[in-house]
Amino acid sequence: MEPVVDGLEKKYEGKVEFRRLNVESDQAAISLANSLGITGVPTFIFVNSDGVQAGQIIGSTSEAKMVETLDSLK
Amino acid sequence: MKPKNLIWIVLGVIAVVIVGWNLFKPAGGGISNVDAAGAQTAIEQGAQVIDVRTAGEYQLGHLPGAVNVPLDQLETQSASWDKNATYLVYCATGARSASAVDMMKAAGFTSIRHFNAGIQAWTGELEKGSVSSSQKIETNGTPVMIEFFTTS
Repeated sequence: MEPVVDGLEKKYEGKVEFRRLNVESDQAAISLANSLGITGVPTFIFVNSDGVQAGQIIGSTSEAKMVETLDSLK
Repeated sequence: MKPKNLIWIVLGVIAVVIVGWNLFKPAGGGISNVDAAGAQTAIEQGAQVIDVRTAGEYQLGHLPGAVNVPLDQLETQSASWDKNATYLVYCATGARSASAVDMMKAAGFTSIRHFNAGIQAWTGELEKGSVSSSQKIETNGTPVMIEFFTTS
């Protein structure tokens, strides 16, 4: 998934902020993952600009699905 | 010993093995129906909770940690899921989730707990919101995509 996410991060630069959190080594990431009920990786959480969560994708997914969800963000 | 008796002994041994396997097979795998208590246990044991109802139904209330994957999107979305992980699948009454379980079974998923009475039989607390958590995420005024990952 990493090359796909890398490409999307460039494509959506300035439009969507990408936060990539390592739940092995980053304690803050682990806390956030626990509070959001994340049970597996990779998991992608999509958040509108007002902070409201708009979607979630669990596991590896297609670029098309990622684009569809990213485009739906407000 | 007569050949006929030998056949009966062999058949008996096979029957014992089959019954024994079904009684003592590992609890972690397989596809089975569960009631509300079984669903709770599955959640506590880390099953991935899949709500196959519509987004609107989901927002009104869903099981803790549930992810909304409407039935018509399940085939596409589940294509990338770990087929050996354990999933707890439910809908409102068990009809749509039965279709979901059939689809996942055909796709090769090996460990499914089907909450076949549906959320109407759930007696625990429900979460509400657009996704699995209603917790707001701090933003800088632009939408955010958060990826949780590991390197191993």
